[in-house]
Amino acid sequence: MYERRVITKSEFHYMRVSLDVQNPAKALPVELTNVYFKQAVTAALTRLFGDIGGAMVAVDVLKYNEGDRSAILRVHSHNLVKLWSALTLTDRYMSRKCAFRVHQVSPYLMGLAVNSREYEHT
Amino acid sequence: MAAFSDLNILHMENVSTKEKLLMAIKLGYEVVAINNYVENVLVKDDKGKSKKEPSKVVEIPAPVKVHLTERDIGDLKVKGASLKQLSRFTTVLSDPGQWRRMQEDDIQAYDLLAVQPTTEKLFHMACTAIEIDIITFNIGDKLTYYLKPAPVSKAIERGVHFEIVYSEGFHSSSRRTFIANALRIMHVTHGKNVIISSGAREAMDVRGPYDVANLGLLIGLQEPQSKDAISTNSRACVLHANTRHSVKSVISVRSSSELKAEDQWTVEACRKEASEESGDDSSESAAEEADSSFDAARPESKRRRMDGV
Amino acid sequence: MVRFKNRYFVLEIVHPLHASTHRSVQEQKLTSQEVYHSLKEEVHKSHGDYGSAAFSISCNVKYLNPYTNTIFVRIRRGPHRFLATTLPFIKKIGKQDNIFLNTLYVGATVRNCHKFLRNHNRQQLAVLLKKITHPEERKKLQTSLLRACVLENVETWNTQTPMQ
Repeated sequence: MYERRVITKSEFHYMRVSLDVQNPAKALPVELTNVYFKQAVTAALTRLFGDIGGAMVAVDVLKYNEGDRSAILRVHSHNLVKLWSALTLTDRYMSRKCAFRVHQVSPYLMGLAVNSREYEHT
Repeated sequence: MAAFSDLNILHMENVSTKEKLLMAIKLGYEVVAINNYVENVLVKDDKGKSKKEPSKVVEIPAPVKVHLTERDIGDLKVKGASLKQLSRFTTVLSDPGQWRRMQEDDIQAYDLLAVQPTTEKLFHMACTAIEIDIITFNIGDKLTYYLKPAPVSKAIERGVHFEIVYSEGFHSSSRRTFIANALRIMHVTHGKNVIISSGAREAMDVRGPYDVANLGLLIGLQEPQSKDAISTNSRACVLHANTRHSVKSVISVRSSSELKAEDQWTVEACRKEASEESGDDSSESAAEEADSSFDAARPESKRRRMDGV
Repeated sequence: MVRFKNRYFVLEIVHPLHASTHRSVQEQKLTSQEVYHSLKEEVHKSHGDYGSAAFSISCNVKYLNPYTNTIFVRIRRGPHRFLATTLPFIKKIGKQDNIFLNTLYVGATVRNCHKFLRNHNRQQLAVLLKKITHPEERKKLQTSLLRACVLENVETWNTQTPMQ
């Protein structure tokens, strides 16, 4: 009688990511502004997928927070796996050991508004 | 759903293992295995022949367990979970004689056993003959032997798992070979019995479970398979490892005094049911009560009673 | 049934038109290893670690003719697009560094590639015949062509007439 249909025909996927560096108290050689953050992301893509493969993935940094180095990225849905794996396999930013932490991924920007997983127990 | 597991956190002398565990907890892993890696369990003497003498036996370190306080595992407690720590032993299999050494108590004391074969013959042996849990590879270097489908499918039947270590994918020099080897493993196993783990040397080498599942997608696993690689397959591997310690692989016999306090009622209930079957009417009502309390778990007991009546 | 599908690329190395073909054959004889490595390097530049890893486990250089500069490359069907998108950008193979690759044919079986190459070579011979002006060389080419044609006719003649 009733049917549940889930349609996610969203063209884009949105990710909330942050760059986790080793020894965060120690200052970076070049402070990470939004331009450098985007450069880090695209560099990760070109390292893993090359000039053609990396260039074909169009990433946009929608919002960037310099304090905790977190950003909201937008990418076409068919490129999500490429972007995500490029971020996962990055381990250095300017000779400092780091890791990209992906907090949320959603086909809709509204989906990033709430997050029940990121509870920090203090 | 099975808990997220990382079955390869390297235990190294100069780097704090506790830090790596704290990172794993923060990222959401509930099961970790601390890996002691010993390259050669046999000692070669000067003539080049492998010999095992009491004075020259390779010291195998004891399984490591890190003490964690309530505060450390707070992140997991909030979700109603806790960290399960397992111990794992990995060695390079370069000689058939090493297997005999591995059957001794100090190595069998570990929860998980893993080998890294170096030749095709030893790979065949690891897949078909010996009692190990995980077959791992030196994934940053070129594989010196072909992975044939026949021994691999035999290994899958037996419950042996193949491991892909993703921390090798970080360095540019080994990244190509890492992806090439991961693709080969995927082709030959068709995604079955594959586990992906960190092989973390430092705390920053660990990645979140969903990130790791995405790496599975990258190398060609399907979505459910890639999620299995970090949860269900790891659980299956641990269960397979448990069978090495039990007397029979399906049933393990334990003394009733070893039961936890909350499980002690099962002993009483079984005793009551046994006396009920032998035709004792006085205990029938008590047995009925006991029966209804674990009805859901033991449907066959209800059936038996109805037959008796 | 899981079937491994391949793609076979028939490529021709094109040198600059003014270079003399004589010298190139003697001095810079290509090997299939050199071709494989050059292709792998280019795929690495274009498609990064992932592309070159996928390429390295599924690609072979099957046939190489250093005289006609023809190459057969076999690659699995999934990673074939990495190679296909890289081919236009290749400028150097082995020690020959002012070349480009012309894709003559892409097939799914090596048999069809052979068929194509055979027809292609026949046409090339006819083109060569027109180009060559030196009388000695022309004569040589004509006799070898004739021999090839006659041989073919003889074969068909043998199968058609009954044994006596």
